[in-house]
Amino acid sequence: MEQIQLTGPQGPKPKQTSVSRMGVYVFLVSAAIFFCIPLYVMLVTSLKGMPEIRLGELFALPGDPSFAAWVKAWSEACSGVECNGIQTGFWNSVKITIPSVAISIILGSINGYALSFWRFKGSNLLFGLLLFGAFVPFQVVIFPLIIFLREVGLYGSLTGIILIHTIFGMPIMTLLFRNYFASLPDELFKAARVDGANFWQIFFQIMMPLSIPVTVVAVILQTTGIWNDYLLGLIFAGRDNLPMTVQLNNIVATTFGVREYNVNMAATILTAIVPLAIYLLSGKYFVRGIAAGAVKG
Amino acid sequence: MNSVSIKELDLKYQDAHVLKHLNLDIQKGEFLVLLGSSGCGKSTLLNCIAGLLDITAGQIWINDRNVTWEEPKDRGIGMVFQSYALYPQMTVEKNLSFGLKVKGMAKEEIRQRVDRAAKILQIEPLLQRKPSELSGGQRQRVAIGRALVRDVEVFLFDEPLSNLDAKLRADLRVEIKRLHQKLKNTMVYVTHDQVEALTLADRIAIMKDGEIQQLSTPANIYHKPCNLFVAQFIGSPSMNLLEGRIVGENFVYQDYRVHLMGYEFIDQGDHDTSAYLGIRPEHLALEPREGYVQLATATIDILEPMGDETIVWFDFMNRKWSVKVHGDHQLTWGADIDIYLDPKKAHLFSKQSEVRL
Repeated sequence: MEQIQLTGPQGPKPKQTSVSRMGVYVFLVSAAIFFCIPLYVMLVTSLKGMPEIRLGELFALPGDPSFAAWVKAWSEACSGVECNGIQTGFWNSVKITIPSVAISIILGSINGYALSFWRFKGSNLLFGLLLFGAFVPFQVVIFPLIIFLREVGLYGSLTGIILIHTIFGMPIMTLLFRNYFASLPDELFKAARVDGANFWQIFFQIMMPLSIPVTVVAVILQTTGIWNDYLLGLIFAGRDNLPMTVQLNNIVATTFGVREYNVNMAATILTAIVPLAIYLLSGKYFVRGIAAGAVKG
Repeated sequence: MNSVSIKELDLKYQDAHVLKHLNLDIQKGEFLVLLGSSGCGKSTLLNCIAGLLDITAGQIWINDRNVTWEEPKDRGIGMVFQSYALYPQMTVEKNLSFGLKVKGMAKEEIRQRVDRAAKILQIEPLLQRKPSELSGGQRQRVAIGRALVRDVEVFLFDEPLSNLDAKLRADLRVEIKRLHQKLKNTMVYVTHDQVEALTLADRIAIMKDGEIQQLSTPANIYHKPCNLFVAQFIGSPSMNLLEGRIVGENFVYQDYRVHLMGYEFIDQGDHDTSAYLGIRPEHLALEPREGYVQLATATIDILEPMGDETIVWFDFMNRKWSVKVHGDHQLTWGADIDIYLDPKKAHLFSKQSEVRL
């Protein structure tokens, strides 16, 4: 068969890199570099020895990289009179974060499910109140909460701080799950009711398996939020359960003897590594979950 | 014996009166279609029957049992939804068996019922698939199967075919009819599609603003619409209308008169009133026929050839009129045509009450 000769534009449109596009890339790359500089400085400083740091060459690579500072930060650094390193704080934070995240997500998802499917009298009012809670600055309610926890005998205990985190996580978790469940077709719920499933059966067998994407988002939000918390941990956790952030501050702020910048940097990176890892590992789901909620919500 | 009875049903939201004093009796084994445009309350009524909506007043009886306060699962109904509403994370088999498992039925019986439903609906090869791996038609079959396994007396369909493409819709429509003939269950079927309603129904209830306008057989609805709304709603293209007066045996408009020879008035007696004359496009003709009377001369505005027939549009008395003719007719746009009408097939409605005369 004879090939017909075509003239003029044909086939796929050629890709062009315009000047404005280049400008966008240049901006994005420089912004990325700018925000990476502090991390870079922390990393190289933590690998240097004190004599090298005293030279004041902030950006220079370490001449003799060593993890001594990291080991010291983890197991020997002093906060106040104790010198067990930041590991105690790490395990305290783990003990606080895991139950708080789990409980707040379970309660938030039940709330969201009930509020979006089982409309009862006053459910909108309840939701409004919960939403209101999301916007109250928590500093305002700290003092009443201290008194409340003291009265029920939970002040300064692990249970107390977990309770506090659960309460403060409730509004945003409820909002997240309610909006997600509102985006699911109503008919799914009706079908399950005609099938005879009750409140909990519909929740556990139909809705929970469908809410994995939003649960991932919730885990990320809550884990980073609770891990990074400083004030609540300082106030409510009690001396034995101080979270990592509080202990980091104590180590860095200790004004006894020489300031060991490399140890401080290592301790800081160790503290930040959990939320950082979560973002790097699940950032994709995070964006996806937020976007899914936004479009359908 | 009535399978479903609705007695003085009322449903109000804050300021909207969605269903108004509704009364409806559905016979055992009957296929009843609720037909109406969106917002007329037809789906709401179905949800009330299913027990998914709380009603404001009245009663709902299913199988001679007052189920007004009962949970959906205890009403002896199965329901099929427009969006299929299959549980996305479960296989077809699990979808079918979920309701039975929740009920605590023995495994062996669940298996038997699922197998039977799968056989009837010919979805046996699909049992281990997830809903996302099925086509629209297959999904809707599974949804019907979910109602089937429950072994209930009454099936409720909420626009089950509206999400399917035209070809599949026609196929599945036939299958639903076949299913009804085989199972002989009572079926209540909501749709806005008049073809579905006319082809499937034993009786059609046409709804508007939360009230049933006419409840009758498809033939009666089509040939003897009880009011102007029903007349205009059913039929495509819709019925042609003419405004005028009835004087004795004649329908008078402007200076012309049409002799109403053979028209069956509902009540005999003298008529002298303002009225609409309605006539379906297929009851007009372009040539004189026996019993037809000449109506007008007009100019062809638009031609819509559909193969087997052609729809001819023209302007008449400031309204768009249409006439259906055989597809073989050689017609050209802009040509003049004579219009003849069959008075026996005409419809007369009071201008004041819009009720059939």
